[in-house]
Formats: sequence, C-alpha cells, structure tokens
Amino acid sequence: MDSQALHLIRNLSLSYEIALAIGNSLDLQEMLDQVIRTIVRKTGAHHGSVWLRCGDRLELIAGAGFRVKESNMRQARTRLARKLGEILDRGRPLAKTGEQEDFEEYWVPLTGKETKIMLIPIDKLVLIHLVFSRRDLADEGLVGILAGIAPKLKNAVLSCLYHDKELEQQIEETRWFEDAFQRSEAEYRNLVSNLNVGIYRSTVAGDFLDANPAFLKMFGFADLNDLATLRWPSLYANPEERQCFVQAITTMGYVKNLDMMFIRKGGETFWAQVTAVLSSFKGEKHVMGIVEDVTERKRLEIQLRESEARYRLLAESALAGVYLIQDGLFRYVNPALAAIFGYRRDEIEGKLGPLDLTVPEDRPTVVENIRRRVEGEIEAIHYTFRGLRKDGTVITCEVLGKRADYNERPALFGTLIDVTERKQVEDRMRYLGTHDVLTGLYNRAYFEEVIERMRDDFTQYPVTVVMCDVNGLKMVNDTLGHAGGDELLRAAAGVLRRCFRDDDIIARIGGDEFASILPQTGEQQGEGIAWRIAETVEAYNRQNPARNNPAPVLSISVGVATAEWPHRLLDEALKIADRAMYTNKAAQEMGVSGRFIRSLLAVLAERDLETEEHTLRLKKTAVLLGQACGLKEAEISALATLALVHDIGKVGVPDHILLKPSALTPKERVIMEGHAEIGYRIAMAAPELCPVAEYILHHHEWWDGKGYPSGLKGEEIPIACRVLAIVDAYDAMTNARPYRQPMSKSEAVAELRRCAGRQFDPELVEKFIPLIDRAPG
Amino acid sequence: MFGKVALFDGKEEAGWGPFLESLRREGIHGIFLMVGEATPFSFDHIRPLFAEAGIPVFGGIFPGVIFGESWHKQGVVGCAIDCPISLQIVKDLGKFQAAPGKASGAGFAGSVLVIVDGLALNISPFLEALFETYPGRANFIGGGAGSVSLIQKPVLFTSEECFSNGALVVGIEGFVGVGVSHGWEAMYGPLVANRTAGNVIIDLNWQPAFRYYKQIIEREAGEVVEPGNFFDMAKGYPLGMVRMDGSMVVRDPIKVDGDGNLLLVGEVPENSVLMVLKGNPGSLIHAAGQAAREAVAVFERRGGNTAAGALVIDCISRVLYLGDLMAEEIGAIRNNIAPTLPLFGFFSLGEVASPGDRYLEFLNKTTVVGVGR
Repeated sequence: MDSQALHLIRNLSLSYEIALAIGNSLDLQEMLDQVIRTIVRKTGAHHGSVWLRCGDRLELIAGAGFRVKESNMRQARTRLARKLGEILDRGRPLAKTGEQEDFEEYWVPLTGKETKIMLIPIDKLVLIHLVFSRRDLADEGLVGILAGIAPKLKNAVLSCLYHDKELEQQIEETRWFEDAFQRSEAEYRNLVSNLNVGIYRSTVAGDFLDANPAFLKMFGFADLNDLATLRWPSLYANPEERQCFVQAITTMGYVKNLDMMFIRKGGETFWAQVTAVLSSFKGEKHVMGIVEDVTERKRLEIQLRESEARYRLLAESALAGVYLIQDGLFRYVNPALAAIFGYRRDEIEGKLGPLDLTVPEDRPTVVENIRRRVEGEIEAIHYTFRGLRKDGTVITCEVLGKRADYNERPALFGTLIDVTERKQVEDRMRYLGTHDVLTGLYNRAYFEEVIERMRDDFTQYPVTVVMCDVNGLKMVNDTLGHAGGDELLRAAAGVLRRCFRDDDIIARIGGDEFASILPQTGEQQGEGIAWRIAETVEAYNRQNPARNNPAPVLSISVGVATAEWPHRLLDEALKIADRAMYTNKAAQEMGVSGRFIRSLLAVLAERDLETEEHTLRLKKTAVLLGQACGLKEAEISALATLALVHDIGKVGVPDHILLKPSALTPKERVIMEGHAEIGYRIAMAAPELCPVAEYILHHHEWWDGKGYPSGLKGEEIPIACRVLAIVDAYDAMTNARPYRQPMSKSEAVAELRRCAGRQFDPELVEKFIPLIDRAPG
Repeated sequence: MFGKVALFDGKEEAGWGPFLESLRREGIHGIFLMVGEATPFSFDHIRPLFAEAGIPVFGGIFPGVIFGESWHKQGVVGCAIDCPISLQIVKDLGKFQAAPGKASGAGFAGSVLVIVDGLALNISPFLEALFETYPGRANFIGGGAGSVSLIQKPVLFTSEECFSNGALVVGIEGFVGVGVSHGWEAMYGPLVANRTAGNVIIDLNWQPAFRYYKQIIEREAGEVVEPGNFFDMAKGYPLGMVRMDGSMVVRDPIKVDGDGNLLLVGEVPENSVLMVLKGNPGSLIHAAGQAAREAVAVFERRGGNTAAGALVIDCISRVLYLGDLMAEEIGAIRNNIAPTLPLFGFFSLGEVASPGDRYLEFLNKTTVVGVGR
C-alpha cells in the first residue's frame, strides 16, 4: 500500500475516531476523556489535556497519557492556566518546540524528553493541549483535522454543559429527595422504634429477620440476637393457631386482627392481636406483621362477657320488665316485660316502640318523658302510665328509666312493673283515707284538710259552712242495733247528697255529725240549703213510713254560717254553725223520741204480741192496785207508763224466739230475757220514758230473788215492778193465748196464792185479790 | 539491575531449591522467574522454597522461555534483580485505580516490569490507568503470561499465591532501554471495527466480523479461512490500529466464536480504524533486530555503557508464524546487542512496552527488547 494512501488513511482515521468519540457521552468529563485519549493514542503524543473556559477561569477537564492523572502533575499543570488562557482568547493554534525560548511556559516537564507542544483552541471555549516526546511524529494535518471537527466538539461540549446543568439540577433534586427520604426514613425508623406495637419481619417458616424494640420487649427478648434463638412456632401457646396463621397467610396473603395467645420467653402467656401480610423481599417471601398486646383488652372482654352473662341472666330472669329503647324502638325487652304486655319478645324487639304499648291518653306524657331524657334535661325518671296490652286491656305501669349511650348513640333503658293491683289498692286506700266508708261521703280528716286549704284561699270566699246532726241515733242504735243506726246514717247521707251541689264538700265528721263546705257561697244561699235539707228530710220520712219494719224517723238538725273574707274567718263560721245546729237539735230531740216510741209500740202491736186492749187493761188494773197500796200520784203515773211500755225491749228479740209456741231453749231464753235490758236502754234514751227505765229493767224480778236480770228479791224490787208482776200474771192467765185456753178467776187466784212469796209479793197478792172483781175483764 | 540469569530445566522439583539458591546472593532484591508452560510446575510444592528465599520471588508461566540463543517450552529462566524493587499485585484488572505512590515516588526514574494474564479482560484500560498514574519518569516493559492453548489458568505467582486474571507490576530502580518493533505491513484497509466488546470484534465495516475478514483474506491473499483453521491462517494476517506516526498497533485474531465474532489478544476500541496486515519472515526478523538496536540506543542515550542483560519478550504468534526461522529472529536480536550480554526472556501472549515517550499500549505480534545494567 503506497504511502500517500496510508497518509490519507491516517488522517481520516484520526478524524473519524475523534468524531465518533465526540458526542459519545453527555458526561463532559467522560466525553472529553474519550476525545483526548483517542487523540493521544492516535497521535502517539506523550500526553494530552483538554482545558475548558469556565467564566473567567480556564480549567483542566480531561487528560490522557503519561502521568496525567497523577495528583502532583495535575496541580503543576494548573499553573499553565493563565498562559493557556491567552492562547484560547487569541483563537489561533500554536506549536512550540524545545528550541524556542518560551517553550517551557506552555508545559510541565516530566521526563525531560518533551520536544514539542501543540495548543489548539476551539472557539474560545476549549483548548486541546498536546505534548510530544518524539520528533518523528507526523503532525501534518493534525491541526487541520482538529479545526475541522471543532464546531462539532464545541456543540458537544455545550450539550454536555447544558446536560451537566440539567444533571446538577437533577442531582440537586435527587439529593433533596434523598435527604427527604433519609429524613423520612429516619423519622419512620424512629417511629417504628418507638411504637408501642411490635413490628416484625420473618420467613414464612417462622425464622425472625427483624423486629422493633416493642416486639422484643413484648416477647421478652433482650435484643435481635436473643430473638434469633427462637422461632415463631415456639412462641404460640396453641400450635393449632400457628397452623391457622400459616395457612391463612399463604393462601390469602394476609391476616387481619387475629387474636392469638403467645408465650413470652420467660414462659408467661399473653394475648396479642396480629395483622400480617405476605411480601416479597429480595425475591424471597417474607411475612411482615404488626403485633399488639391485647391481654388487658382480652381480660376486659372476658370480664365483660361474664358480666354480660350475669346481667343477661339478671335481666332475663328478673320479675320486673327490663327494656332498652333506641331510635323509638325497643331494642331489647326481657321475658317479663313481654309477658306484662302479653306479647312474645320477637313481636316487640325492633318492631314496637313505647307508644305502641301506651294508651292514647298517656302518650303525650310518655313522649315528653322520653324527650327530656334523650335531650339530656334529666338523667333518670320515675313515673307511671297506663299501658296497653296486646289483648286491649289497660294496665298501670311504673317505669324507672334512665338515659344511656348504646352503640355510641343515646338510648333509654330501665325497668317496668305492672302496678295495676297496687294502684287499685292505693286508690282504695286513698279513698278510705278521705272518705267515710259507711256513707261514702268525705271523712273528718279530709274535711279538715279542705278547711286548712281553704282557710287562706281568698278566691273561695265567701264560704258557707253547714253543720248537720242526725237526731236520735243513739236511741236507734240501742233499739235496732247498729245496723239500724247505720241505715239511718246512710239515709241522712243520701238526703244531704241530694241537697248539695257537686262541688260542695260534704263530710261525716262524727258519729251522727255531718258538715259541708260550700265555696263561693253567700249567707243567703246557705239559708236556702238549710231549708232544702228540712224539706228533703220530710220527703224522705213520708216515703219511708214505719209500718212493717222498725225504720226510725229521720231527723237532722242543721246549723248554717257564712265566712265573709276578711270580716269573718272560716273557723269562726264553723263555730257559729255548730252552735246553731245544737240549738236546733235541742228543739227537735223530744218530739223525735216520742214519735219513735210510738213507732216501736206500733211495731210490737203489729207483731201481735201485745194488744192495745191488754196494755190498757193492764194499765187500769195496775193503777187500781197501786192506789190500793197507797202509792203517790207520780208513782201511779209511772206505774201506768210502765204498764204500757214494760215489754218495749221485745222489739229487739227475733220473731222466731218471740213468737215460738213451744218451750224456749236455754240459749233462746237468754235472748228472750235480754228484752228487759233492751227496754231499759230505750227508755233511757227517750226523755219521756226515763222515769220508768229502772222499772222496765226489773219488771221480771221474783220475790224470792230468782227472777232476772238482777236477781233482786223482796222489797229490793221496786213496788211498781211487784205490782206489775201480779197484774200482768193475772191478766195473762185469765185471757186466751194462741197456745192455751184462759183460766177462771178462782183458778187464777189460786195460782197467784200458790206463787205468792215465791214469785209475787204475798202482801200485794192479798191486796190484789179483793180488787179482782173491779179489774177490767 | 539484571543480576545473575540462569536456566533450570524444571524436570525435577528437587532441582528448584539449588536453582533458587544459585540465584540468591547478597545484594539481590528479588527473583524474576519465567516458567515454560511445559514445565512440571506445582506452585503449592514450590511455594515453601519461595518463602525460604527471604526476598520477593515472582513470575509467570509463558508459552516458552528464551535463554541465550535457545528457547524452551519446558524450563525455567531465573533472573536475580540486584536493585530495589516494589511489587504490586493486581488481582482484578477491571478494578485497578492507580499505581502505588509510595514504593515509587515522584522522583522515580526506573523501569516498570508489567506481567499480565494475557487472556485477562480489561488489559488496555489497566495499562492506560497505570500509565496515567505511575509517578516519575518510568519506562514500561512486559508481556502477557498464559498458555498457547488459549485456556485461561493461574499463570502469575508470587511467594504467597498463584493467580489468574491479574497482573504483577514491578517497579525496578534501574533503567532499561526499551526497543519495540513488529515488522507487519498494511495489506488492506481501512476497515472500521464499528462494533466491539473489549477484545472481541463483532462487526467489521458494519458486517459480521469473521465473514468480512474471511472475504478479505480470501480475496486479497488467496487463502481460505475457516473456523477450523482460523488460528493457523490468521496468524499471518493480523489487524493493525492506525497511528498518526504511521505505526500500527497490532491485534492478533486468535479465534472465531460461535457467533462469528473475532477474538483478539488485547482490546480494540469501538470505531477504531484498522488495516489488515501481512508480514513475511524477513520483515519480522528484521523488525526484531530493529527492536534490539533501538533498545541499545535508548540505553546508551541515557548514558548506559555497561549493560548487564537483554530481556526479550517475543510474541508467541511470531514464533508460530516463523517456525524454524525463529532461530534467525533470536539471532537478529543477538546480533544487535553486545555478544557477551546475557539474553533471556519469554514468549508472550501480548506485549507491553513504552520507552516513556508515547502512549502505553498492549501490543500483539511484536518483539520487545529491554537492555539494562
């Protein structure tokens, strides 16, 4: 191959290889390293450098060849910068040989064999600096070749610089992100290290790879080396749980909130909740997880379960109804509550609300009570309402309810009991506390309560007070017994109830005393009430005549007074009315008893025991004998009265004894003999009969002391009684009876004489016998 | 610098002790051993003897060794070094960063003996880094150890270990005049190695490398090149990287891989402009003599007049190419140095040489001669 061709090849190859080195990299250092290495290698230079203008400085960027990267030589070459900068500014290539005086200003001697330097500036930006040690180098064309590629080299340098800036920016950003990442990682590590929950990484087989301090502490390990002595399977209290965990993590890839029991290194067991995920770490499957000690929570859960079971047992077996209401519906009711309302529990829970079990009238009250608790006005409440059972019956319910949070929302819970029976008893008791059982009117306690309440309530004035007293009650009790007296009182109450207005307070304040308070009633209206009472009593007596029964005559004494606020106080009016009533009573009492005795005698006559003829005969005969005995006029009068009423007590003897035709039994006899005392009490109650009451009591005493009721004998027996005994016996013997024929006078006299000294006063018998013919026959 | 140089046939391990003892004498700083690859050399057996020497013992296993006018596949040439040395062991050429600054300071003006694993990767980057960082004013001389079978083995050794894929860098406080020449001439070109990977050319002129190379050889030289005869044929048609001074850095194609790529001894930078070279025994032998002359001239220019030895590093492919004419190449070297000057050396897989005035390259098919005191 001829030398000309080889020369061309040399130049072309240099141009070609440098051109390809340019732009081969966007890293300025790398690109210029390749360029200068190619140049040095191709030119056989001893070494070469590339300088770059950076602002007002010239910097050595790249080099190739002998010792260019030795640190001492790099420093030495920097002193060339100023001189080389002048060459660059001048913009023309420069070659210096060892023969020139300023040769050494452009190079740093290395071997002493340097013979030539070549400086090639490129567009005042880049300076290529070559040093040759051999003189035989063919440098022809080198400058031209480098000049030819100069624009390309310049553009490549600018591209690299631009890229460098971008790279710097990227590096800056990367550094920022790295710093941020490192900070974040440091914070994360700090967080992980200080977390109270354990964090670990292990193989699927259970070999630990990493764990945070909380994990080590939780499982009782001193450090990671200590942790490496054990594997997961040995930390499970229950091996089956380990199998479940491994199966779940390998099939699903994760487990979440799994509660399991573990064993600390020291042997202590504890509960922990595990959340773990299967992840790839450097191509290997690892388990990363979080472990939280939930022993305390578990303990509380167990306690809660036990407590819940206990309370559920209490609630389920409670006799009282227990309920929980939320959002207007029963969320829980116990069997007792369901039974109270006649439902099954599933018919109530979640389907019915409290209003469904309440009568319509009480629903506003229930709604209001619920509202007050839900809105927090009150915490608890105790009230009653009327409940509506499934069968429609109404019951009275007593609720003790309280506000509570259930599932983090307001709810109501409480107990409910059926107090229907108790309510009825209470109502009865309350009624009895304020009412008179016999008459149904208010009682004295309530009356006084009303007086107390009304005393200072001026809105009620004027208040009229009416005091009433039933006349002759004692006599009725004594003659007809308390049943008769009670009947009389009920009749009086009925009359009074008809005479007063609905708003007036009528009360029985004593045995025979009634009183009434008439609010907002003046004196004139009060007087009208008194008249109305009198008229109503009269009407009653007319409608209830004493014919077939011993019904007493109704008589009521009335006193009226009006309290005019503030001139006359209520207490004063009460006293005035009371006095007026007693005045009225005194006037009426006498007439009442007389009428009553006549009524009693009429009743006896009706029973056909004593005919009016008999009593009149007896009266005449007794008067004759009394006169024969020399009795005084008053005694004769009393003897006459005694003859009329001595058996008045028989009104208290039942008919089956009184009218019994056969002999009486001992018990019947006792009842029969009681008529003497009954008669005595009647007489004592009636002013007209008081003087003969003693005689009525003893009119069955015998001379020999074997009579009744007191066993008096001889002259201890009042003479009126001894007279009546002889006269009554003779009249009875000589007049027919339903069960026997009448005796003759002689037979009667004989009987009298036979009984004289035993039953009868013998002296009086003898005085009587002569009078027989004068006695009415 | 060069002390006693001796040849040991290496047939018996028992001979190693006396051999080493014969080299070790007072004032010796190290022993450089060149072992022919056919020598029954068991490092583990011999190492205790190295340790007993009390001085650095280092060296390599080469395709052959040169001693006097003869060369041997079996045998050991030992060279005692009688000036201070610094031995750096480079285990991984790709990771080499810088030469040691301590052992050889800034004032260092000696020579650097570089023995590399000739079949290692990254030889050129290693040499560039070494050249750019080595302090002082050094000459470089050396070559690649290895087997002609081209199978990589541990071929470098010191008193401590035997290894491959690395290098031994020996700074010697003595000047060596270095002469380099190859004698190959451009036959065809230029070509562009537009796709390479280290010491592999994938594309040549944008065509599959082997196919294109084969076409050129067949067309220009009338030789048929096949993968089966590639080594034998290609040894006569190496590739040359063009330099501006008209020189060529030779790259020796030694193998075709299954993908049709050319494997070389030494790297070829991508986009290098290449020439296909050819040679003839005469030019090669002449070049060897020229290398010797240059070495002597350089040595003498530095004022050296009492050379103690001539270290010859001759590429094994030249030996294979020259065949029986190899004796003439050795003779050409001998003829250009002093008749009494000990001549020794080794056949190499690649050569290293720089007299310090140009870029340090890993050479192929080249003869390197170093003449030192």
